[in-house]
Amino acid sequence: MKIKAFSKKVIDIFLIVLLFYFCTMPIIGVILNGISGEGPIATPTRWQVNMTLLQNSLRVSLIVTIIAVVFATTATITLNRIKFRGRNILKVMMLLPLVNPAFVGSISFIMLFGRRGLITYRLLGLNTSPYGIQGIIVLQSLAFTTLAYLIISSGIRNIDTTIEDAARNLGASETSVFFRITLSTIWPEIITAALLVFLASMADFTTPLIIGGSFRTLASDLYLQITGLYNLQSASVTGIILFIPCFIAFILHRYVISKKRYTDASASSTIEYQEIAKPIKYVAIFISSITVIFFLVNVTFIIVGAFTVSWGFDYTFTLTHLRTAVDQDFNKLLRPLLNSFTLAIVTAFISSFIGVMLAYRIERKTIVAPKVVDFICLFTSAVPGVLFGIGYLVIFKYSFFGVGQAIFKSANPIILLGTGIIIYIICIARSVNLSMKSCYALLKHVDPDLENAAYNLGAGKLRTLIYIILPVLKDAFVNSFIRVFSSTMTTLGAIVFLLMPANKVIIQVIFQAITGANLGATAVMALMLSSFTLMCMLTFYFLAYGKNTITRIRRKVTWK
Amino acid sequence: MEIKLRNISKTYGDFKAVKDVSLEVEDGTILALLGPSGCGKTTLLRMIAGLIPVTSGNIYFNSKDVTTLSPQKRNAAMVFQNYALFPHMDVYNNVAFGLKTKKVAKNLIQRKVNEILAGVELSGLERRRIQELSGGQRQRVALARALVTQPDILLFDEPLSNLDPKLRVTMRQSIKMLQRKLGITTVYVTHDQEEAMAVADKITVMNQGIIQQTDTPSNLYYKPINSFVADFIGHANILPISHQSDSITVLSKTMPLNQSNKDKTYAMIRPENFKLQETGIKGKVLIREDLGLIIRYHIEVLNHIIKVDVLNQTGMTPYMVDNTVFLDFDPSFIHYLSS
Repeated sequence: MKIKAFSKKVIDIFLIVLLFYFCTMPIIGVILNGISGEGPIATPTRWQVNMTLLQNSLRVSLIVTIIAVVFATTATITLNRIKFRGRNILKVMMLLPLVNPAFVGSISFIMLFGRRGLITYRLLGLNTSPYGIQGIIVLQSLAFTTLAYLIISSGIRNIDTTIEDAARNLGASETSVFFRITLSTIWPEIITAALLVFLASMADFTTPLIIGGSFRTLASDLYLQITGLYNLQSASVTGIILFIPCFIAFILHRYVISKKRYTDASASSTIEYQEIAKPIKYVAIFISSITVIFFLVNVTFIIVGAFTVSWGFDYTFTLTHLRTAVDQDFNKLLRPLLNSFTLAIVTAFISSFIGVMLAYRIERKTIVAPKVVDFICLFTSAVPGVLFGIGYLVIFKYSFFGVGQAIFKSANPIILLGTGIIIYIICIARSVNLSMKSCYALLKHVDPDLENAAYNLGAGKLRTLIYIILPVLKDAFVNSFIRVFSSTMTTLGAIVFLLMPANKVIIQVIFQAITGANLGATAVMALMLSSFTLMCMLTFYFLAYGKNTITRIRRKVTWK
Repeated sequence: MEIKLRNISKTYGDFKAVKDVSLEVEDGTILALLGPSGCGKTTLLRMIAGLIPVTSGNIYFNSKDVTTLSPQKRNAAMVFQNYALFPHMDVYNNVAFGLKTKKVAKNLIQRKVNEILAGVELSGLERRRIQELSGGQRQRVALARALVTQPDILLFDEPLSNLDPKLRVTMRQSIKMLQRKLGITTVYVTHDQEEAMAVADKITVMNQGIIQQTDTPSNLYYKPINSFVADFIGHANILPISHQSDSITVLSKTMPLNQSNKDKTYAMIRPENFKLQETGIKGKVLIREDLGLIIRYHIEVLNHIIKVDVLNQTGMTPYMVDNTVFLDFDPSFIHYLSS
């Protein structure tokens, strides 16, 4: 018995070391690499550039955060508290951007506001450039509003609504109920959403690259530094500067904000405002509709662009782009799509397995040092994808976690770089936190005495695991599987530097094509990726829940 | 302040939650709304508070029609079932909330809040977070929060249902005493008949959205209007009556037909009104419950199961299960029911 417990502990510790190596070490590697190089950390001019980039990044991220959170909060209140026709349609539409890669919005943005854009050139006759900070802000706001909406609306659904009635009963006016009760109780969720949007915006290098023009952010500059100059040391310094605000945001959230939670999953109830001033009601509905309309425009023009001969010059309907895409050499489109699919499936499976298992054991405190494991895994969510990718370059290129070059020049690096395996590893390491978060959320609804009840009825450990724990965790697993699958399909982030021509993924192909001339062909590919991802997600739902699929999905959408 | 409800109805789609309810609560008294869950009592209470609009009918406070008045303006403070304390405020700010909305001067708020917190024995907990309070303490914060605004009307929505039985008894006594002292007209919703009888001056029994009977606790107990009320208030044996031309029979005992039992179909006899003795109607003990003050027997008599309560006196030998017993009752203790 003692030996068994001991060996279990050893396995746990081994697991923790692995997690630490693949999740935390890359960022430590970047920091060590950045500060341990020969010569000064950065030349004065480089330092100047870095500070400008930091300013740019912070400016974009803060503006995007404010826009996304304001729109998401308005939409949350409107769609959950105000009764009007078409509300359920808007609720579904709010989720549209989930299957679109963040930067795909630039396709329709260029189509509408580009040099030959439908609105700027055709309608207004302007000859303006779409490239610059405003484009980044618009596109990121579009992409991240849904992220914020998901978090804030899950908060409002879990408010005990009788406290609003209690405030009315004590004489508080409707305005005062809204600000001092409703908004105050979902404030922690709003702040959480703000932080996540901030992190996502800081980490996004694709949008600034495509639409930023000469306007660069830390993340986009990092990409250029690696792909252009391949100066790991200077990139590491920029990386550290990018990492600092993200880390501060993460720590603030973890230790200050998340301690405050007023919502209670068990008290969920919904009400609608009985009395609401007509102008406010219409403004609220208007703002939410605008948000959705932007989403729709985005999708619509990708579709339109995919079937138009040459946007800006010739607007006739055509199937050429589709035909070219399909007829293309296998290696150019279908192979990357297949690669993406395999990568996403494997990543989703392994990281969901690890994440759900870890989350369950952390929650029940049956693992060695639960808090440490939780920190190691969730920490990766604070690290921007590009930076994580650079971390992998560093620790797998140089020996001794990237500092080897300074200490032992002759020591051999670990040879994972340039293999396919490293791509799988990095995707899994980045996705475990997603899996854990979705599992934590579900475990809140599970009675901790469930296992004890099974033991009490005479079931053994194995039996309890198979008949009780696994079925309970199935929802968490499916949920996490689908989340990780879609995010792996549609995010470029961490893997961008590690991909080899042989294992190209579709998102990378689209990213490279989008900066090229043929918008139509890019639109076709983006469309294919979105619909393929959506189809896969539906299939997984169906495989997991069979004929209950529709009710399941509907429940997820309206969350009642 | 007097509360008057006139023909109040509430429908949700096809479902009628409250059906044509008319009711009066006299100034300074407590009325308990009693009934099983889903009977519409909470809906009715929330309509009085103005938190749910009525479908039809009118609500009057004294002679003022408040049917469409917003909840903010009714001055009818409510104590909610799950207390509905504001989770993002401490004890002090929860209690002060109502005063702040009325724009009372700051030092006056402070005095009043301190006074009321002392009154409910919560002094010293002003800065506690709600999450750090026990159930009983939360209950008292909710009570203080309602009372501090000096409401015209107090509304309680099953205020004690989340407390343990001992605490429930003490709390209901303090609620009653407070109400007496302040003389505030009160409506008290509960599903616990004992609580209703202990607290209320009058009780309204509801079932399926309809008022069954409104009366004093003792009248409800001795003269229930139908078998639902009889069964809901205390324990009751409800037995069918067989009619003869000039007499009726209840449990093989024949009585003359008279004004009180003519046209009636059931006889209600409370368990304490049966006597167990040497002769009488023969039965067999099925279950014996030792409840302390009384012993309750469930006795099979002529295909009926009769509950009989016997005072538990020192030195007596109780009957055992399967013992044969003989029971009897005084016909004057029968209450006749038509349905």
